[in-house]
Amino acid sequence: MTGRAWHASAVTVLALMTSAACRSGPRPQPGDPMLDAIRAEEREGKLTYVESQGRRLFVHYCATCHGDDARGDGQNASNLNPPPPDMTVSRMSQDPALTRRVIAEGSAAVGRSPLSPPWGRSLSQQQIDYLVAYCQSLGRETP
Amino acid sequence: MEVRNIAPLRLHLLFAGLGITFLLIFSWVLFHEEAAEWRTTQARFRQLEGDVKNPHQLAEAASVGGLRQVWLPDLGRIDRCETCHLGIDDPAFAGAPAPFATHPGTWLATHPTGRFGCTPCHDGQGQATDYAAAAHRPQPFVTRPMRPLETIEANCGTCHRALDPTDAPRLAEGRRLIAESGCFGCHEIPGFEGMTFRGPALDSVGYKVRPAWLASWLKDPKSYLAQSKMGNFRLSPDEIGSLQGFLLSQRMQVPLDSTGVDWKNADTANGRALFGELRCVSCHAVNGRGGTMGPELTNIGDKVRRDWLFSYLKDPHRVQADTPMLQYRLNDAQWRDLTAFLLEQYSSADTGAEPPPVTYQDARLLAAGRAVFERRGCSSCHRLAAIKETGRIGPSLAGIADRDPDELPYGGSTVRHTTDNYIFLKVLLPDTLGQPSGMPTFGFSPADAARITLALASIRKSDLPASYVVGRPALVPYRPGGKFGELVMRYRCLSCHTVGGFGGDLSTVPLDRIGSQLQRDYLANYLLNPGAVRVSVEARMPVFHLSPDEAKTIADYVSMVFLDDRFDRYDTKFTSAEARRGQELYGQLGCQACHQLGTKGGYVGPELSTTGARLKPGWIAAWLSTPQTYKPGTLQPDYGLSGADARALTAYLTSLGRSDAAKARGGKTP
Amino acid sequence: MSQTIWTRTLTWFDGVRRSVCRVGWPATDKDRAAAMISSLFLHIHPARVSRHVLKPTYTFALGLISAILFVVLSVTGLALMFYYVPYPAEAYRSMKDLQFVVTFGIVLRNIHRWSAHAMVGVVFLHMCRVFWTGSYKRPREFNWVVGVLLLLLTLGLSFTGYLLPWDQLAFWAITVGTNIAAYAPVVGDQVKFLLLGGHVIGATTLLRFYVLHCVMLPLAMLLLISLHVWRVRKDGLSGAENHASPTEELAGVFPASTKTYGLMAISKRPQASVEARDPNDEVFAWPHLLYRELLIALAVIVVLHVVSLVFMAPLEEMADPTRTPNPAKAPWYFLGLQELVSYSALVGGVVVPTLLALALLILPYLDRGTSGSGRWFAPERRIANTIFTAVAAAFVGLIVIGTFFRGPNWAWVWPWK
Repeated sequence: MTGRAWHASAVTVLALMTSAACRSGPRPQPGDPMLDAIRAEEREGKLTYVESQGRRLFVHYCATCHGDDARGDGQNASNLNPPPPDMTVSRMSQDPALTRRVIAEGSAAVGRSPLSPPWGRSLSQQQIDYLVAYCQSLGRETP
Repeated sequence: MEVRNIAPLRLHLLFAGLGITFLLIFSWVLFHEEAAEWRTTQARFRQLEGDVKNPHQLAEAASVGGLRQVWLPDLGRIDRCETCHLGIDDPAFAGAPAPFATHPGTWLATHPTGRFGCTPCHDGQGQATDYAAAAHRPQPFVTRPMRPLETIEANCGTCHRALDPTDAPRLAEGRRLIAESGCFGCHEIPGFEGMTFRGPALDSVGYKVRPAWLASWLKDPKSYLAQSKMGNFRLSPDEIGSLQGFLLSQRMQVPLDSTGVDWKNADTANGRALFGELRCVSCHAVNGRGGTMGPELTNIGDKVRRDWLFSYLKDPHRVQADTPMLQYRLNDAQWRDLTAFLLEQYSSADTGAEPPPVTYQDARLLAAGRAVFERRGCSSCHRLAAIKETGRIGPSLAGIADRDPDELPYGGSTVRHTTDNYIFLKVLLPDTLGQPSGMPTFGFSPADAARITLALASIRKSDLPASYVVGRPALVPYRPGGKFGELVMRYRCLSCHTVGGFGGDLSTVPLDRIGSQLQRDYLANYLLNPGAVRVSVEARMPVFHLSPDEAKTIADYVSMVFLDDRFDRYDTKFTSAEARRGQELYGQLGCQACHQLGTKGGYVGPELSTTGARLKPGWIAAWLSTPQTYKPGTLQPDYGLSGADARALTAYLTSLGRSDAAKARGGKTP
Repeated sequence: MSQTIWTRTLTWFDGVRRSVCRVGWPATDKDRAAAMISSLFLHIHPARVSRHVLKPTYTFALGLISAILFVVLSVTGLALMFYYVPYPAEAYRSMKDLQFVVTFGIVLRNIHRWSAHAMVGVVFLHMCRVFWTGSYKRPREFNWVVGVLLLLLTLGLSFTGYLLPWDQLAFWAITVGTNIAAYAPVVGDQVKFLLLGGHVIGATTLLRFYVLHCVMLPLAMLLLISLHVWRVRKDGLSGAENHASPTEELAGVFPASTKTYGLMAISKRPQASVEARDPNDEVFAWPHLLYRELLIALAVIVVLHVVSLVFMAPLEEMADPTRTPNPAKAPWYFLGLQELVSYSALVGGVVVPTLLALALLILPYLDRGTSGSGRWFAPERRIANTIFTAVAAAFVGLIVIGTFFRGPNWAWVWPWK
């Protein structure tokens, strides 16, 4: 009899505490429009954040010769001999180590013409990483 | 002996039950402590042998044990992230699985964890020692959970206060948008102090614009000019009517200066020629092409009245004192031709004849218009003598990133309550947040609104120690006096050029040390007849039609004041061997890829055949050695030239075009 | 041989035990009595207790549970003091360290927190039990007063402890709580100033609350608990009279000197003389009472552990005086008052709490009749019970409303919506 009374009161206490904790039910996940806007833009550009950083640098530093889409058709390309390659098909741009070397030390460093200058002292390591990432993405983009 | 009163069996059973329960629970507590997430994570780290092979890494992995933290007393933070992110600053763990992998990129080289910890950049709860509590995802009562990478640049901006922080393009773009859109006209925004945003003063707008244009402009500025910086104030037709009446009554000064102009004989062909010669498109776009400093001229005929345009072109500074437009030196007939050309060429087909000015008499209408003007804070951007300036109408944005997200309005939308989302929605659609808003709709694209949000989200209640802040240099307005000062004002040099960072950014040439860069004679000639130094740059210095005296004044002043002694001390006695070596280097380094010399070479950089007459040797050497020091982001690569090599190249370049240039000029130099 | 060694070892241990406990293993009635009488800690118990006392449904052990909770709170509180720094931002950081770094830190804090809440509730229920059984009647009037003071001290301890985590919950609950105190006429503002060490909550407030919470109030509590329990021992447990032989009921407050002997003449305890009691109605405190007490203590500790493992003590953002939560709520036991304050500051903040405290304090001196004491809901006390129950229910009702039914701007909300 007394044992039962104890049991009952203990259960009541626990039940009360549990019910207090369960007051709020699950709700639908609210949205993040600001993040969505950025992600939508990324999806549209089909580039990741790192690649788009690289693209930005590419457009600023490289596109006058290599062309906006790295097809070797920049406005200064016609003045160059040998002309810049179409990087969307070049296998060279798919080799990150080689790409990095050309960007940092110039094309002369890999035994080619000196027309592509070394950027290793002008750009930070991080920026070169971004550029390499962008070059990597070029092969992915099929017209 | 006595066995009475011993405890009943059920009590023993109860005791046994409770005792066992207690032991179970207590051992569970013990187990719980021992199986803490960070301990199991570290245990996994010690078993990384499968992934990492080299002995150094194994030793590293095996020695790990216990909590790791970075204490940043300056920042009031304790970051324990490295308790689990064990390989974060060791390149050897580049290929290790999460959470042990090396930090991507080279960020830790410039931001070592010992000085910056993790949360200043990433947010989250640094004190926590398990995944959930560290707020990798949003958590209750954690105001700043970890930022997703997409928005992390907001935190860059907390320390990096420059308008164009490197490697944070979204932030830089956001700040540029803020600077360009003039948000600080209505809001006090830390980081944009000292900047002013001005629409044109409206004191004589009644003389300037056509009524129909004004009404459509007030209804939606974008309908006339897609790039309009003025937002849509969502005015009702009544408000538009009264505001239009109020504005057209503004004829304080009489700016017009067109009496006696013979409009019948206007020569629009001459006007077209002038339009090209003055390089109007450097600042004004037509049909979407051209500069953005001035308003686009595509439909200018729909907007302005003829006499006003004539008077403005003739002397912009008298008609509108705060305009960035420069004053050209032409005669009345030329201005007439240009005006006629503009109005004829650049107006839409359905533009009717210019209506006569209306005088509004209805006092109630005028009062209502004035009330709208005051209520909507038009005077934040537009000066109007009839209206007392009231200061900024919008709330200060200082510390906006630290506002309590739950206290901000979100309208009916079911967005997550974060300051980011609030700012974003406010910037994008100010009238949808469930409370009346005086803020106009600027029509930003969602991506632009997101970037502005990033820039604003970096503005926190600043208690950062000064040593962490990479500041924006305080801008000292540059206002030279004397005759030179008058010329600078008249030709609005600072609309495009900067001195000490103050001024416009249209030109790529800051003037701070221009006297040590350019040969004086070259400069004097260039001012009279500016050619294109860089073929690939579209914006050109306008042809001012300076008088030779004016050119001389400017060239003399600049050559005496805007100096940098370091360049002028350079030893300019070059040997011929140096010049020969320089010529070799020119080919070896591939300079011709970008620079034209004679007829050969690229046109990314300036043409070099007259370098010797154009540039001073000290500057050439300095520029070739460390170009980024003088112009961050320049396309001139840093070749890491030795002093001798730089000198050799300088010797070669200095020799170019010197003798014949001097001969050609003879005594004609002003 | 081995037998001898075994016996000798046992004897040796028994000697050690005897030196500590002063008496032999309580196997005989004499030793059982001696076990209680000879121990500093146990002699607060009588040697023999009425079976009635052991009936759980009479007291529900609420007083005992309160005392156990106080011990638990003291022990965990002392442990927490090793890590706590009573200075604003540091205090909050201590909480985080307890949660993330200190071994068993979070369990300690949870147990301390939930024990404190439980103690407020249990002490309140204890008071209700005492009222409903009429146990505050002569000769226990003063002990009731001590009990009321203990209730107030419990609230004070809980309230001062509430601020210490220095999170938003703490900061604003104490802001609201001290603002209620400031409604008191004449002295209100001074009391608030004294309590806060300033006009707003700050570093001084935290230090003051810390000292009150860790030193002054616990000492006062310890003193009053001693007095309270000592009086229970001296006055006897209520209701025992009802179960004793009829002769006992004649024993008044001042028994005739002819019926007492020696020291008993000065004892004011109802004289339950040994020969007058029915031996079958009594059992030895060892083991019957002690065993049950041990079980209850164990049960309390088990429940506290379970609760502390399942429910985390709340910890919101760090206190920010510039960010007022809406609604800002006082600690739950003051939400009834806050609810009243929302109607009338004077009534809720001054009149009702003052009247309630005064009424409780002088209650036993107003309600002088002795009938109906020692039984639950004695019919003779129907009026008193009805009034008390109504007031208590109203108070609990207001707390429930304030806790669950009040949203932003103290507007009515349905908690399930």
